[in-house]
Amino acid sequence: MSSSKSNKIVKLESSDNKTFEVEEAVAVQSETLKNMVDDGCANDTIPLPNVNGKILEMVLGWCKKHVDETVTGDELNKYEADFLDLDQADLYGLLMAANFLNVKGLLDRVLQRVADMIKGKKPEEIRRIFNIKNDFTPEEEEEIRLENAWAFD
Amino acid sequence: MAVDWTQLPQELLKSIADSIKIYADYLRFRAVCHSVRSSVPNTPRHLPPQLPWLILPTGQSDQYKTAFFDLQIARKLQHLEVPDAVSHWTFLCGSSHGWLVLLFQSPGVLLFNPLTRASFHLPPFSAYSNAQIVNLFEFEINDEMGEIYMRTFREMLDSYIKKVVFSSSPLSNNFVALAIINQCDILAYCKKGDLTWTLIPRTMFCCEDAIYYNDLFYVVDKHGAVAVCDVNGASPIVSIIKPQLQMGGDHQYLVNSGDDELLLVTRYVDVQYDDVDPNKIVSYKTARFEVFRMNWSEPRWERIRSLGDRMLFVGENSSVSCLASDFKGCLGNCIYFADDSDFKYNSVNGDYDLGIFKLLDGSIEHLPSCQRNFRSRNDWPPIWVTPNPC
Repeated sequence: MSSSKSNKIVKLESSDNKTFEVEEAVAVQSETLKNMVDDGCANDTIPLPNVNGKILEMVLGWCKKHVDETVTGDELNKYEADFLDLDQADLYGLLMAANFLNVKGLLDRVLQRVADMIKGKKPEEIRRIFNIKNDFTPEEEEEIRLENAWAFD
Repeated sequence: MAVDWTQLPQELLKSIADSIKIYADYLRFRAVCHSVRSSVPNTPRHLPPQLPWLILPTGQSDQYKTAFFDLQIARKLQHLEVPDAVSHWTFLCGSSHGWLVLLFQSPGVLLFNPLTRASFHLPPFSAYSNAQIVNLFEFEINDEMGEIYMRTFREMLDSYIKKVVFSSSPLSNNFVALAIINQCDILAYCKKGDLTWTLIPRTMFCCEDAIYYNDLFYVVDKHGAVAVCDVNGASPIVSIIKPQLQMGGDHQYLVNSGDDELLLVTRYVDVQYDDVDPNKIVSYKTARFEVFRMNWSEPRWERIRSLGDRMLFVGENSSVSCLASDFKGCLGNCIYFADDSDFKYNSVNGDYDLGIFKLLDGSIEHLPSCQRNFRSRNDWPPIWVTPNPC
């Protein structure tokens, strides 16, 4: 049998006005939401103006999977790996949402995914992947390169 | 629609950097743009031990740079600048936590980090206990049998310091160094701020290697007995463990496997002597290794046949263990070995003893090497050093 909180539902509204209803056990995977529940502020719909519907749905899907006791360890690993196979825009949104909602396991996995995308790449490749503009002057770049030339060959 | 990641809040950029495990990746990330550079600290403090580099004597004198062999970057030679004051008048005799242990003739001790070019002084070792300095370059040794013989400074260097290991980088507050000196018989330690080395009363003979693990120093002798030294308090506390199974082999190394296991690595060396002069060594080459893990409950060294994904680095350095899967181009289940002979500074012929021993089939792949018997300048002998930005 599930825990004593099993019947409570938490209602969430994304920035683009989509509403989601989830069990409390799912919602409290987010420390941010857990605090609101504990403080008694979760009785009405909670607005989340900095998370859009698409990303919120992903986050809640993650949380649901992680409270599901029928999921095996292997299934969970595969789920997590597939989950993070996203384009960089969605990855960005997920990173921001996981940070804001403070879903620790998800945040750690997203950070690791980003670090893996950086691994072995030169700075210009990293810029391309993450759509970052190079705002160093050629002199600054050369200075940075010379500081640790061995890493930039 | 692409998103500009520099819009991320500073603490998230820092969190991304904290998830990076390889120093070169960290440096390249910081080189991406101003916003990343200012959000991410100059010196990372979270990195796990990095893949060691091999200092390689190039056999060329008048170099202002020292060559490092990087296993990963297409096995390329890197060059790092070393201040003249450091490279010209010092003798390399150890490496721990990314810092090189260098001896002056006096005998002062200098620690040098080749990555950051920082240096740090340790108290000099006191006068060699059974040796008298006769002149600037020679020592007169009185051994326990009453025999007196002469040794050059270079010969002393080879035999006087067996190993120096640290608890951490010398820049950290609870830094302790442990040295095996005087031809393997004496253990000495010094803590940050100490003005002299403290001797640990004679515990074992023929100490071969030491490592620091979980606040304690573990020292092994040539038979596989282990002295556990607690130097945290005012005076040292030592307990000796004599595992079943006496060891053979020519060198013993202790390694922290990284999985909370203490490993013993035994090195077997083939030595060839000159046909004419039987005292002259013409070849000194490692033949094979055996690896054991400590079973504390008995206690007993148990032979293991595979290291899995692990790579071990042994030699004059403080032993290191890394996971091959963390580093592209590296092979697990291997022992990467550097020269550990007693005549790195002596005129002995043949190349340095370097290579990669593969536990899978017992084969040895050679690493680039050069002749031992080098020239006028005090080139550093080959030694593993872990790049450490701290």
